[in-house]
Amino acid sequence: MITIGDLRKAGWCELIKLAFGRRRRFRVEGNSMLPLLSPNDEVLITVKSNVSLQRGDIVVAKHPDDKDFILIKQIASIAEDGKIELIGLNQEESTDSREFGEVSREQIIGKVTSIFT
Amino acid sequence: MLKKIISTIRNNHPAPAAHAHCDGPCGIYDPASARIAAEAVLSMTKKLIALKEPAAGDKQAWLDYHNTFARFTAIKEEQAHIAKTELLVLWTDYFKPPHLEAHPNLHDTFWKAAKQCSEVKVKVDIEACEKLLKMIEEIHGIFWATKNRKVEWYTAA
Repeated sequence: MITIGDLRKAGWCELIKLAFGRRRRFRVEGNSMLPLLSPNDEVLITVKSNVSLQRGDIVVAKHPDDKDFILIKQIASIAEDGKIELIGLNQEESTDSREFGEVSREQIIGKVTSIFT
Repeated sequence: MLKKIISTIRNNHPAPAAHAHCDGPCGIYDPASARIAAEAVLSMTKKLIALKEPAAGDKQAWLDYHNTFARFTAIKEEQAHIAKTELLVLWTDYFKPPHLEAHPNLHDTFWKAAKQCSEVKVKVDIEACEKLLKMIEEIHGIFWATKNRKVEWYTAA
């Protein structure tokens, strides 16, 4: 699983990718990704839909019941049928797959690549 | 240099939010929390209206009056905001698409109730507070219907 040390701050390479539209920015709201991500932290994510995903990746995803509600969570598991289980790092304060169930690959907007700070 | 560029981008181009949602995972919802806050708004509104102006020239009494008025207003403001937050959390977190099918007026009801929370903030108006409570009563009815439970509406006051 990912740890604090695994997610790096954005460097020049990430900034250039952002400038060329190969990264998207999101701002974190809420406490469920503490201690890795605090409220108002910003992250950069991949934009390609075919990016490989694995357990432990931090992802930005659409809520399965409301596509306009954007979540940031960690991948807890990926089932053989491709269904993805999302979980908050701070599980005491997280609404995640334990409540809304698994999400599909199409609901993943992108994988977090760095902290934009 | 890099830090400065990032800081400039962050300050000038706000990023969309990704929710690391902070609700408890317990799944416990109840419109009662919105009702209690709305009742507090009604109570503070009544207290504001009932507040008697002191005699002219009594500086201490006027200071106390203004202090009390400000405190009542601050509590009214705070409780109205709590009522709105409770409604929005209930609306967006508890209710699911099947509930909307069963209660097609769901979105309209919540939207109007959230708007009414702003109304009671802006005004010192008992009627507006009572209207908000009526709206929350309607939400109470919808909420418990989704759970197939009959829960009587009641107020603390």
